[in-house]
Parts: sequence; structure tokens; C-alpha cells
Amino acid sequence: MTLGLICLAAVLLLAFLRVPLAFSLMTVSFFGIAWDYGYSTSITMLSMTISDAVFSYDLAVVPLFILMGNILSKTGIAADLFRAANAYLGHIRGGLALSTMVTCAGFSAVCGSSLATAATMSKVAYPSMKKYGYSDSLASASIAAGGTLGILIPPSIILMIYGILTQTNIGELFIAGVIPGLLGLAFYMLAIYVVAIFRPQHAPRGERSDAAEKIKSLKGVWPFFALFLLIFGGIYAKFFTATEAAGMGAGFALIIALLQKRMTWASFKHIFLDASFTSVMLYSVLFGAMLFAKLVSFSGLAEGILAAVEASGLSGFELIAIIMIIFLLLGCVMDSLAIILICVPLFVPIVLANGFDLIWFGIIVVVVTEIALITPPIGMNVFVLKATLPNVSFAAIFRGLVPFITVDLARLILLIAVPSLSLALVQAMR
Amino acid sequence: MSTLISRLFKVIEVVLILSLLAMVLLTFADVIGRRFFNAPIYGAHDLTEHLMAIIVFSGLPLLTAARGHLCVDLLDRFLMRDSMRWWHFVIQLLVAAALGLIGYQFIVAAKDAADILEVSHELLIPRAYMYYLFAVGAFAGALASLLPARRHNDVHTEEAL
Repeated sequence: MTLGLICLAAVLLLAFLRVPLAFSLMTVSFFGIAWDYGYSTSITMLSMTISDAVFSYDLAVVPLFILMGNILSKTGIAADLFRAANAYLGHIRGGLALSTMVTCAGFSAVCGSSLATAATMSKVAYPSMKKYGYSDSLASASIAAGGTLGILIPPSIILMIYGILTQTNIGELFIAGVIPGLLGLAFYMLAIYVVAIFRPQHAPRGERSDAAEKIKSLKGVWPFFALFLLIFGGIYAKFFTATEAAGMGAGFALIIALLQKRMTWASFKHIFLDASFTSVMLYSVLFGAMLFAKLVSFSGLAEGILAAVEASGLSGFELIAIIMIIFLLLGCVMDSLAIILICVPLFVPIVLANGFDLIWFGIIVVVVTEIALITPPIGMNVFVLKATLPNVSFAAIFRGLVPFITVDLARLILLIAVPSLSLALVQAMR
Repeated sequence: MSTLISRLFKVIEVVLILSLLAMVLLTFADVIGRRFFNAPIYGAHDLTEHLMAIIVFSGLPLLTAARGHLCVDLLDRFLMRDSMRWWHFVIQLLVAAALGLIGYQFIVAAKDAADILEVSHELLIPRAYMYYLFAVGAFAGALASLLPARRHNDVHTEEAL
């Protein structure tokens, strides 16, 4: 227990001192295991963890879904989606911001990254909103908040990592994310509508599209909807495993991009290399996190935390509330992936011992880390947005985010109080 | 020396692109065959796993050279000062030591695998070759960590968030 705590502190210290997370986790876990079991055990465990992870077909879901997201995001699908959403919603008050949200949700359905969603949308939606006189704070905050839907609506890189770490079915996690993701979209749209009603100067109306324009706008987006339905319908119907669905998704995305002549040789190279590097980075941190999970178990840290929790007499939901507060606080100083890699192995035994469902826990963990992506001081989405929109101040973006963070907290409480919102589809699927 | 490294990196880029493309095509064809025609490709899972291993350990030196590993950047304002350069060198030393250890261990694992004739499940591909590749990838990563950073336009690992 003491060794485990020292190792946890060492991981955090090294990580904050900018040692790459993969190597903070790997080095500390290596020495931690060696302390108790000797160097030969530790070194064998290191190489076994790496080769088990690398030679795992289930983990191949990671590069394939990343590639699918990269192909579809770099080939201009977001602009088509925005055009379609705008044709239907643009004319109502706050319509462009509502269209931005719908586009973010739609884009999230093919891209598993929150930051990529926010970065893409800042190029697609922001110029239109500015053209129609939207305030900087609402325009930028809609994109930063909308981007967070990227890690809940499947496919989601963070959910994949959670699934791998907790050995939870990734397909079920994806299906579980659908209702909370759509709920997030509804809450965000409500927040925009309320802002547009009370502060109409922030969100003027756009132009009304006629019926012909509305129908035409759907032309560019139907293959993408068909792809989404095929993949997640396939997972829901248990026709595909998550890795198979990812392979189908990446394959069809490639076919769509080639048929629609949306891919050049240069973009092909960029898309494949980008997906490869992101996958290598994720595998590296997974090696570290898997070894760290072994240390947490071997050092008695997991048992120690569990015993401390039992001694405290806290009930199930009080515990979840405390865990969520810890995640929110950590979210102020670390990014979502780092929090999940370090904290999930620590908290999962408590969650299981209290009879909670790991899929439900995964969803609320992702929602809480989503909130971390848009809260100061380290709201990663805000930083990405700031990089693409240098003329908008941090203060303006954070000010605009207040309504979105408020509805996010309400959604978190709702998802904790009503687990069936996350689990109903999974239970129907089982 | 720099030209040689650049050429090597270009070759690795081709390996990465081809491996990922092969993985997509293989999985796609296997799923279509398995689910629609009841005719899966024999050994597809095995090959996918090997392609993934090639991607991870070929990409490792490039990612390390580009300093593309995930870092917590909370204290960047303090740690990125010129006066803290020595600390960055310590970090790169630590990364190199960790990768060197992994490389060494996979040389040992490769020898063991060759002795006991360890092979993959379906296609019976000898594991020793793969472990040697892991070792080479890890050693190359260690070296890349000690050499000056080489930024790469296609490294956007923050997009995993």
C-alpha cells in the first residue's frame, strides 16, 4: 500500500515535470514492481505487457477508428454537414450556433477526438457565425463545447482507451455513449437557445433556405450517415465486433473519399502518417498504463484504497460523487487521457466492489473529462480554438462557455442519478 | 549523417503507410468475407496483429524524434524556459534509458523465442523475428531521444484527446 502510494506520487511528479506520460508510468511501475518482486520479474512483466498489447487483435480497433476519423475529417465532410444543418436551422434565432452543435455531433459520429472536432469546426463554422454578426464569445464557445461531443458520441478514442484498460467491451461502451451524447447535444442546443432569447444581439438570425436548397444540402452527407448506421447498427446488432466495425469504417471511408475524389496523394500520405503516429503514441501510453495497473494490483494499493473506502462508511453514490470531484479537480491540471490512464486503475476496484456497472462508470468518467476540456485553466479545447482563432481572447471564450459548463454539470448529475440513460441500449443489445 | 537519417525516416514512413493500408484492406476484406460470404481470410487476425506490431515499433523512433509523446504541459511556462534546458536533456536521457531497457529485453525475448520455437497462433510466424524488430525499434527510439528533435508535420498526437 505504502509502495503503491509512493509510486502514484512519483508518476504524478514525473508527469507534471513533463516526462512523457508513457515513460513516467513505465519507469515508476518498473521500479515499483522490482522493489517487491525483483528486477527479473519486473523486466519480464514489462516485455510481456508490451508484447501482449501489441499482439492483440482487439487493440487494433484504435488505429482503424483513428484512421476512419482522419479520412473523413480531412476530406471536407464537416463543411458539407454544416451546410446541411444550416439549411434547416440557420434561419431561426441562434440558428448558426445550433447548426454548429448539430455539425459537431455529426462530425463526432465519425471522429473520436474532441480536439480534432473543435479544430475542424473552428475553420468551418466560425467564419459563417462571424459573417452574420455572432458575438465572439458565443461563436467560439459553441465550437469548444460542441467539440467535447467528439469523445462521447461513438467512435471515441477515450472510450476505447477506457475499454482496453478496464477490459470492458468497447462495442458496448460505444452504444452506451449514444444516448448521453445525444442528451449532451440537446442540452447544448437548449443553452444556445436560452442565450439567443435573453441576449439576442449575440446570435442574430441567418438566411432562410428554400426546399430545393434543403434537399440539395443533403447530397454531400448521405454516404456519411449510411456509414454511421452501418458501423454502429452493426455493433448494436452484434453483427460486428468493435475491431471489425473499425475496419469496415476505415475501408468504407477510404472508398467514399476516393469515389468522391476528395483525396489527393498528399492528403493520403498525411492522413495515414497522422493516424500511425497517434496510434503509436496511444500504444506507448497504454503500455505504461497497463504496467501501472499491474503495480496498483501487486502493491496492494487497490486493496488499500478499497479498505479505506469501506472504513469511511461512505455509500455508493457518495463515493461516485467524490470520485467525480477528484476527476473535475484533476481536469483543471491534466488532460483527459492522462487522468483516465492514471485514475481508472485506481478507482475501478471501488466501482466494482460497490456493485456499479463499469460501462456506466466509463460514460460518466468521459462526461466529466469532457467538462475538463472546457474548464479553465487547462481547457484543451479552448487552447486549440485560441490557436486557430488568435483574435478571440481567452476571457471571451471562457465567458461564453459558462452556459455550456452549467448544462454539462446538470447532464452529469442526471447521468449519475439515472444509470439507465447509459445502460438501456446496452441492455437491449444484450 | 543527417541525410542518412532523413532517408531512413522516409523509408519508415513508407513502411507505416503500407502497413496501415494493408491492415485496413485486410480487415475490410476479412469482415466482408466472414460476415457476408462465410469465407473469412485464414490468418487475417494474425496478420493484423503483426502489422500493428510493425506500425508501433517502426513509428516509435519517428514519434520520439518528433518529441510527439503525450506530456502534461501544466508547468510549461516554467519548464520551457531556456534555463531549464538541462531538465529536457535529463528527460530525454530517461526516455532513452527506458527504451534501451525495452530493446535489451526484447533481444533476450527473441533468443528465448528462437530456442523454444515460439510462433504465432494461426500462421505459425516465428516470434523471434518480431521481437528482434521490437528491439531494433526500441533502440532506434532510444537513439532518436538522444539526438536533436526532428519536428514532423504529420505528428498531431494531441488529436487523440
